[in-house]
Amino acid sequence: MDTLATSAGEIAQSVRVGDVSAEHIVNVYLDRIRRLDGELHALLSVDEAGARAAARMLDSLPAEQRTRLPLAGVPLVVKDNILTDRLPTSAGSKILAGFYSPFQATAVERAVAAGAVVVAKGNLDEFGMGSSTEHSAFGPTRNPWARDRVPGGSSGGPAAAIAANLAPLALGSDTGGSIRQPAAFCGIVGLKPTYGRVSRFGLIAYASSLDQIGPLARTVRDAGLLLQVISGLDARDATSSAEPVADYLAELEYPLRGLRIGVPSQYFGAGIEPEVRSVVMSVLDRLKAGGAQTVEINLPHTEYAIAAYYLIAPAEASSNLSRFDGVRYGFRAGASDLVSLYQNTRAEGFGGEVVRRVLLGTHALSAGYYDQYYVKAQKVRALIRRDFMEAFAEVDVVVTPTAPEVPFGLGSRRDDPLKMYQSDICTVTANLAGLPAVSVPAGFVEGLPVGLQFIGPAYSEALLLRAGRMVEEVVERPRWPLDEP
Amino acid sequence: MALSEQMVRHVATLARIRVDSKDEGRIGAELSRVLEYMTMLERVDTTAVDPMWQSVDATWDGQRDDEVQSSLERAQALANAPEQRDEMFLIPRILGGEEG
Amino acid sequence: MADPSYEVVVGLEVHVELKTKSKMFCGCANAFGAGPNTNTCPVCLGMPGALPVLNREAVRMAVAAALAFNCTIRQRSRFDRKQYFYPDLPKAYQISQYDAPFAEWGSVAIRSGSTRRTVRIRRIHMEEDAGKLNHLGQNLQSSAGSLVDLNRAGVPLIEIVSEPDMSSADEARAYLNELRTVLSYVDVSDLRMEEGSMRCDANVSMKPVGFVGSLEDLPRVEIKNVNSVRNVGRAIEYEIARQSRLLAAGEAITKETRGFNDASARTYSQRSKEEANDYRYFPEPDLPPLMLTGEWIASVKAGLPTLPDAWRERLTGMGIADQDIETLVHDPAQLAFLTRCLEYESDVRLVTTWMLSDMLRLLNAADLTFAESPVGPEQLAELLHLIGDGTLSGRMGKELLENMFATGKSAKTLIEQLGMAQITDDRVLREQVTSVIADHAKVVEDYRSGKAKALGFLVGQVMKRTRGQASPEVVNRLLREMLDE
Repeated sequence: MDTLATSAGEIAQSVRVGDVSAEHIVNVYLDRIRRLDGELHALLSVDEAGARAAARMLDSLPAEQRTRLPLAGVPLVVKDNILTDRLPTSAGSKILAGFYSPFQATAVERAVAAGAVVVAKGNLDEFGMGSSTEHSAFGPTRNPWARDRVPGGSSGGPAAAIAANLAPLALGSDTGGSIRQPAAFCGIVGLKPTYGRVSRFGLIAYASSLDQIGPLARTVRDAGLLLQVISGLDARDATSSAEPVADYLAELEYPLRGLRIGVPSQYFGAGIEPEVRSVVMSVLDRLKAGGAQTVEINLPHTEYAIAAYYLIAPAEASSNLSRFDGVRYGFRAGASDLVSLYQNTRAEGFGGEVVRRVLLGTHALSAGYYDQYYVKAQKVRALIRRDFMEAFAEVDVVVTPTAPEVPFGLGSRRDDPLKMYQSDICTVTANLAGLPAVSVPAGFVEGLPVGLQFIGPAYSEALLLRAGRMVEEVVERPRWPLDEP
Repeated sequence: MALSEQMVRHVATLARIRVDSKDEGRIGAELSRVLEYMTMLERVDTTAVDPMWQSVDATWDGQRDDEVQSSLERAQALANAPEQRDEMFLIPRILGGEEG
Repeated sequence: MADPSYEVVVGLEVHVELKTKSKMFCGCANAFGAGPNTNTCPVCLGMPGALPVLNREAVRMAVAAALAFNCTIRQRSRFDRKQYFYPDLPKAYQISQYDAPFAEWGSVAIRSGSTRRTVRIRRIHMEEDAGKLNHLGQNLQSSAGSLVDLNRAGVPLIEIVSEPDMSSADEARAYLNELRTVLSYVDVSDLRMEEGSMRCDANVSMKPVGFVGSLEDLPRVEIKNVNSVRNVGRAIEYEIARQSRLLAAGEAITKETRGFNDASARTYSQRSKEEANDYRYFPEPDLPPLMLTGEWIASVKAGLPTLPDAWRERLTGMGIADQDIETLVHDPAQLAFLTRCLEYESDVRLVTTWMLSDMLRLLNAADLTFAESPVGPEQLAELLHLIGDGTLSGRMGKELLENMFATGKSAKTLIEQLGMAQITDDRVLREQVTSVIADHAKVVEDYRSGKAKALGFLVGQVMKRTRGQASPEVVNRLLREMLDE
């Protein structure tokens, strides 16, 4: 078989029936990583020996055990803010450089138990704070489609790795769009599950009430395959949900007729590049031709989402990142007394964007400002969710562009935080409302990928995947940028 | 609304991040611009709206039974410690009183 | 000593560790005295990616304690993060409860000398304990550094905050003792102040007589972390004297935090920080709201044992002296002993007399509690029966109790082994009486001539000849019968 041309689902099937060994699959991908990642820098660490050992272990399993593994032998890239036991986990920060966790994230554990082989850790904006992966302490990742441009962020490493076929599947995390926006920028599929659908145990927290782990893949089906494995209640995450997990792959087989798609004016107006808008509108036209309905809807509090998000996320981050104090693990700066130890360690260990958000969040929670900023933002957040609840009385899903723009040039945004924050306008609302959302490739603008996003009601992942599948069917897929001719 | 240099110092002290005095003005200006943008929230009528805080469903109580699970081996607990002594984490001297 | 134009106002904050098997948010053992950092895991070490999961039993214990103080239980409360940097606090925030504590408005009835009053409890909240620091060198000031042991980090605590309803050190002591007593009934804590499982902060201020403003406006001195009931009293006494002296000298009292030095019996100013603490409380996003149903609360209430006040009422009804009641009530083991004993012997006064005199003396001498007594409640009851039915005299009973105590054997067994039973048989004793009368003609003469005292001598002679086993009542009766013939 042509390993590189096949999907994760097909790879797993071949390994299950013994057509190909897991070790062979892993070697093919490791070889590709060695050849291509030098330039892309999608990955922060690669576990060649561990991956091969894991693959050989899979190959040595009795056939009847292997046939039960939905991800048998599928190489997996894990964003480097998700804990793995063999590879270090840095969260893209100097403060955690070389940190080895004594435990593994639930999502990784479940993927590995399903037969996935962790091959590498993916680059990211430090602690997930950014939309370009330029805020990684270990250097930026390049977009495989245009190497002078960013892959998006913060899961830019995993997204670029999928687009460059360094692995068929990746786990990312999404706090305000960190799976979906890089998926859009890299022309792949990325899904942020309903809050609580996937355990956050082992995800290094950025903003606890917004963070979710989710899959990145080349196809909707592959994304569903990984989502299936990682979803469900985890007794180690009190905010995970006991809601039963749907059979995503089975549901994908049912065609979707008469889907009512809400089109909110707030996501198609000013601030969205016209070329991006027309790519998305054109896909909608094709969906309508296929029998879907579009309905104009109103999500009136959308314009406040960025302000609410950039108070809530930094506030929680300021608290979550306090544990990085140089006492028990991670980087420690030289200091002769305790307070200097804290101050030096955190000043030298955190990058500029992290410092900015920690200070912003600290201010938002501080005496005299808490009600004005944090509580107010949480009330506006409730209204943003209410907007969606009302919309879902009328429509099945809401459609938006995933990002208001195409991938921008490396280094073109770094000096304007507010502008950078505003580019998250299409994605932060799903996190604020706790809703699932998927980004699927919608087309290109001058060779640069554009993503389309569906947002659905809580636990509507199956529906979102089916809607995404519909888009796949009407969008012509060009040749992948780095796949062999 | 603008964040003065003194406020930057205050916030940086709370966050235990050393900020060079030469950077206080720049950081204050950056944060002030962001906070200025946040003032748009004042336009939203939130009377009778409860803060959302989080998005958890009530499918279970999120609690655990009182059972002892094995702890880490001490060597694992200390494995990442920048400095240790006598099987504990070593920190430099503490000036001033206790907190908390 | 105090200026009559001021009234002393005292409020106490008491931290009580709950004796769950595992910690509050992780499965590490909740145990005192283990080797440093052996009861730690990613959660209580504050490692990145770890998440707290609330211990159900900690909630039950906390609610049971609050119900024992007649608190109102909030059916929907939540946890908040209290943020500050200190090396014994691994996450740099303590999971606590801020503006929605689970319990409010309880009360404790105290007796101090002849005064009785009610101290109101304003609130009880749950929180996690911090770890421990060991300072290198003599003390913190001269220390070259400190060592952090996180075994205690994450142990469940309740903090019981009183209203400032006490007006002397004696009342504070009485309050603490009553708090301890009630908690020992509920059986939720080891209550060992020397091991830190119960800790106390005292707030002391001086209120001008006739002052009508809020007590919050008075300059309040908080004495932190006092480690015994006795020292709480000493610290408050010192503080009252200190503040009175300042007021007499026309000086102002500064609102501050002070420590207590055991050796000098003085409080001392803890250097005030450069700026006031700003704990930046906000709702803990890693935990769902704490929901308690009325039904569940009722079941916890139903599971409470009879509490001290109910016991006082019951014991008073039984006719036990107030003094004995307090002795009994402050020692649940004693009370349990009494209750068990009353199942076999219904004469309350007889049982309490024996318990609080002979039993207590023997236990004290052996440094044992009633729970550890070698003579159980059933054995004591048997002994009392044997005295009641005349098998043993009171004096023999006392002797036998010592023997029972030493051997652990029952009264009946010992009586058989030692041939100790009281002789009540008329025929046997008549023989002895006859021979005593014959041997002491002079004394018999005296008796007959009206010297009543002579009878006592003759009784004594019979007792002597029977090695004390004769029933004094029977001997008396027989002597009278025979002499008065």
